[in-house]
Amino acid sequence: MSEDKDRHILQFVPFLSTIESGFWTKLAEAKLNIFKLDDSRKVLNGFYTNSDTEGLPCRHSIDFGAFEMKNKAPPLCFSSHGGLHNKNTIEDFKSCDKKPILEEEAKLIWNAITSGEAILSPDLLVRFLLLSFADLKKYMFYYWFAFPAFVHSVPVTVCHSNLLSDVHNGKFMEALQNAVQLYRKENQFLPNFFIICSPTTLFGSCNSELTMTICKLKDFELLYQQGHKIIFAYCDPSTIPGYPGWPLRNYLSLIAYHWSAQLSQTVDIICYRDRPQDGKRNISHSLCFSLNVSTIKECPLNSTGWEKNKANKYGPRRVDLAEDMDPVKLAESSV
Amino acid sequence: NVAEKFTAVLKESKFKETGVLTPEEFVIAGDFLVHHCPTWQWLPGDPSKTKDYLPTDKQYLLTRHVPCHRRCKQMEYNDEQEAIIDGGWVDTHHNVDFEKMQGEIKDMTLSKESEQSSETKEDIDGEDDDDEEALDMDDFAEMLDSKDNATLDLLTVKKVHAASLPKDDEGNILQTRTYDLHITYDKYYQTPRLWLSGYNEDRKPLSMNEMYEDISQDHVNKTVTIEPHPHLPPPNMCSVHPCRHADVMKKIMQTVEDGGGELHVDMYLLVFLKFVQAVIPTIEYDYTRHFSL
Repeated sequence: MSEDKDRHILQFVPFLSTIESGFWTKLAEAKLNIFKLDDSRKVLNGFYTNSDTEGLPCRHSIDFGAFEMKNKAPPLCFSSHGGLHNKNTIEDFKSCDKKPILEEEAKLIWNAITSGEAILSPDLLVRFLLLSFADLKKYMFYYWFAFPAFVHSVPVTVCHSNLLSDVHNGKFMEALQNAVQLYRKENQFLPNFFIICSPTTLFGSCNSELTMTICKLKDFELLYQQGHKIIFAYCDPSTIPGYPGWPLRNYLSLIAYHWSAQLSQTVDIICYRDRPQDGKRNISHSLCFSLNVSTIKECPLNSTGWEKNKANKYGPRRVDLAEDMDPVKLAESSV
Repeated sequence: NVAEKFTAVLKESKFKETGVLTPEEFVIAGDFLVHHCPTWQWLPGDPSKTKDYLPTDKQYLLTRHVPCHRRCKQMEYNDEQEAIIDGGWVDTHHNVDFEKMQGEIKDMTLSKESEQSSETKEDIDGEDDDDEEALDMDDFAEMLDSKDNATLDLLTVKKVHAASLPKDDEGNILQTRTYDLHITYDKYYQTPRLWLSGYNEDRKPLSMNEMYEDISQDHVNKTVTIEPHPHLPPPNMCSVHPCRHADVMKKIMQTVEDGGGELHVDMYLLVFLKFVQAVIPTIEYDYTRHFSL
């Protein structure tokens, strides 16, 4: 993508939910032994990655470890947090009012933003909601994911966008890769969201040597006061050229609340994509944006995020695991 | 698995003599794989299934969501593309993408043992099982009014990028399936074991019949079985049966030695992945490293 003179509304690639089959086994066990008829909200863990190959969807996964509170994201993945509403009947599942449960989850994000908790633990910005019904007699699972995000009354618009490899003739990319490597060495894990402290803005000119450091979000004020150029970065699960993934939405809400006023509403973003290729890590397909982000202080009225189904409509999905889980069918097929 | 329960854990290295691995050697080979092919990662698995002969955080290896653009059974079958690795492993569907790899495998080729005739490809009725409408899902669709124009409509992107998406011979856009590949240590056969779990374009798990479309027809129902994964909760998973792995490894090592080289135990999984690729020729996982034997 070359520089775009026309300002246009930034669009985000929605998450596509992936459920590894082991999750359903754990859900069935929990439903029978722990939840029983209790259909109140339960806490879940999920994860996503920024290293998928181009052409694959912007994927959010949950697996058999989703119920374990101490569960940390698998290597090369980043954690997310969610709520499960597992209904007792298909009618409950169908008639469940979608608006309040989405707003409940979105409110958790908003509270984390305003309290500053999300600055200390930025993974709290990535939330999901799973509405489900488990037909345990038929091994049929009905489910609908939502990935709550806020609809800003003044949409975020794009001033400039580019591929990372094209910024400063690729020099920027090398310096960033070195900085991430150093950070990983010292801190073990790269956070979902972080700050890149650089001697130049993303699209500015730079005469000096390009060296940069990876910093935590909580260092913003200090870095800002010291006069550093600040680029916000996050690990981006989208693989589509030109379009950032879903986690950027709530990140921008955080930035709009705390920092965009100080930055004269102009925010530099790097959508960090990091794919192992031929034994090396490749980040050249990462995206760079200069965005116009209006300040928000009040919780936006609208939240969005219900996932569309295969037919591109808002609706639930269903998975039939009878073939894999039903003891009768398993016995038949093992003959 | 009763047999596994009563098999003692292999203690002494027998790698050189028989091609089998001790758990320690499996970990060494796994570390080597993770280091050189970072798409592979060690995982702890379900804590209730931890095997004490392996470190708790290194129970099995996993690479997630490896794309598989083409159906194995759609690929034109061509005798000339067939390479016999050894008696049991017929490498049937080498297309251009794998030419390089094929060369390497041919280098590993040993005695041209009696060629197992590749049987006529059995056509599996793999039509989409998407029609089992117990309840019409359209009934559930809702108009959710969110007045939001910042969500990208994936259908538009698909249209715009249609030209660059992979297509079949008739020009239809191919469904991108993905596979999660697991490597576990099989205590009974004392070798690594490959497990596959596939997803369709919509991230729904593939049925067995759908997965058979991606498995070389010579291996369907022979070397590929459905069994419980040693580190994960049910359901069962599709796996390449390890009964011949040690033999093949031993033969490969012999060839390397005959050529004056030496195959170290840390390379085991790289070699292993090359020969199991014959079973799943269209799954495009990244070797990330070329090595010479």
